[in-house]
Amino acid sequence: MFIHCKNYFVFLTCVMGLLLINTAHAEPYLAIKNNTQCSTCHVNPAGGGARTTYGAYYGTHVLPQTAGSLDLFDAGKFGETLRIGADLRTNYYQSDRDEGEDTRGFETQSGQLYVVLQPKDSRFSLYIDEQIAPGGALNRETFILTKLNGNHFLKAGRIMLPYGIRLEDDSAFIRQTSGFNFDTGDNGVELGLQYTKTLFNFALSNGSSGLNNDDKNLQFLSRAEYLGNNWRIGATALYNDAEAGERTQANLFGGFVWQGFVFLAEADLIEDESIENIPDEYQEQRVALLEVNREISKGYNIKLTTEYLDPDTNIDENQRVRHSLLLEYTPFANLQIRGGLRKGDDIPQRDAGNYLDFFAQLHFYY
Amino acid sequence: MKSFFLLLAITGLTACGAGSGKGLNDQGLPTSSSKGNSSASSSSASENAVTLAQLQQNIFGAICTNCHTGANAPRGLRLDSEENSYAFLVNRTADEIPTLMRVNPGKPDKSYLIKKLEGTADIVGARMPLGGPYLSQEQIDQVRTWIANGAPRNGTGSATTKVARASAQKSDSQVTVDLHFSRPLQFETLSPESIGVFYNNLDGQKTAADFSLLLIDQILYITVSDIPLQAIQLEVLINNSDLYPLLDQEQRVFDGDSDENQGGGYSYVYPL
Repeated sequence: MFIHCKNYFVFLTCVMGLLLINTAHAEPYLAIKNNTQCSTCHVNPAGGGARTTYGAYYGTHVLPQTAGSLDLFDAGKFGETLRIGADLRTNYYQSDRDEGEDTRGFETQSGQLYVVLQPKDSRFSLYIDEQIAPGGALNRETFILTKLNGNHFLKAGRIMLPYGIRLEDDSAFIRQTSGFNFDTGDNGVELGLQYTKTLFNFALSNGSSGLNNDDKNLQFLSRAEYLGNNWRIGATALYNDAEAGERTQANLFGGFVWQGFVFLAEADLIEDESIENIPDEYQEQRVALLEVNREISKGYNIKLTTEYLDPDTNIDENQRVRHSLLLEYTPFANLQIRGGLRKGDDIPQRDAGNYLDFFAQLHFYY
Repeated sequence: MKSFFLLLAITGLTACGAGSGKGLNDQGLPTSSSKGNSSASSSSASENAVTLAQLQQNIFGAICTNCHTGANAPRGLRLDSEENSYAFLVNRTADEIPTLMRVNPGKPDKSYLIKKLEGTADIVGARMPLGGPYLSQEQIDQVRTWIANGAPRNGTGSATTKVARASAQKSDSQVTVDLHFSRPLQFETLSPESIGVFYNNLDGQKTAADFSLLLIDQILYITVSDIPLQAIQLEVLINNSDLYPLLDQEQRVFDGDSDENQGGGYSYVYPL
């Protein structure tokens, strides 16, 4: 029998229950599984994009069913100063809706090219993440990365703010409602204080989702993450002082490994004073994600995700849920085959949220 | 204890179901909440054309506001109310391609919104809605119709009647051309004398005599059979000087060249 998570206590309990369990790891699932920071595998300390030498090795020798040749291992390095990388995802999709027209077809979901320029004997490097397909080029991130003392760093330029878990799926509720996805990098600066077990991020940006600032006010973000022994927990707080109305967001996130299962979870609370769906009541959204991964044999991973969204807590009976079941198969180095089902459940009169999607994806990574 | 917490957490999230939607409209908002929007079922809707209020209820507010809402809306594009949708779309420069408007009234093919919804090759970034599911062609055609009719703030506008979308499918030895008009046509003015169909080949242009017409609502299907092997293009003409004019249901001449004035020739070319 379904129940509605209108009660915030229940909502919080769902997530805190996950986070308090012993032996945990965090997002995306490979970082949790290996109990490591995102920066172990990615040049960008926030994760995603260009891979480090270890990240390239992991992707070609640990992840696949058939590992690549060690003699021919190539981490995309051109000498000591230039590193490149790429991702391409191409899909077949099929969407069956409860009402209305079904759709199906092939698409190039996204193609990225990464360039990292690291001058010799310099603490400064240039990082470029350019989406080159589909359509015209779109800059996702371009920033100057400055290495400070220890593992601390400073980023300045166009950045995707480190808000919660950096999922690849831009259609996930936590990505859509938070406004932080790979399509909406913002201009600003980010300070990272990275210790062995802890990472603190502080960012200041326009708060205009990639456009020039439309007012004199800015957006502030702070994030903290702690890595335990096979578990992690973190929190993010954000304040956008927009003239259209203040926006505040906060989340708790974390993950762990248990009996070979890799769990990750995030819960968000978002209040936006620029929207009143009910007179004199600001919009308040609650969002949650729970993801479970399991490597069933070498090269095969099953991913089960369930998501919850209350688009406005001032309105009753408007909740949405989405469930996904995916199989990820990595037969060889640099190539992954993904496929699965996504089911959306929404209020009956909102056709767009009631669907069953199937997709199969070829993912080239380098 | 570990298992208990695990069970509690999983049960907590997976047991959350969708709302019943009781007392809510298609956008998931209370039916009593107008939120400054016009009625989606205004009297002008009886024309079978599309209003911004309908788009807000069925598409912008129901789908696009998954992301395009509030102070942190992607690309500064807020679609969370009818007023905002109009203000941030119509005659606003598309920041990804500044030579285009997000909505260019009367010109759906030159509106960046349509290109992003259809995922055409000349867009910057990804097709919308980001990550899908994408809008059906029927939903996109509603947006096209609204734009072709001048993207009016209220009602269906008084813009001239145009072709909002044209496409063609080839099967075996026949081609079917679909012309989606922005307003219903006057059926009596539709005849083989008001539609010209031609083959273009290396020797020039020849008239196609074997074609049929079918008008359903605002869509005209022109099916051409027995296409010669040497033909390289199929061309459909409306309103040129040799043809009878096509009228809409308000007795206005079809605006073939989309110049906002009645009349003008229309041409659709399909490479074979």
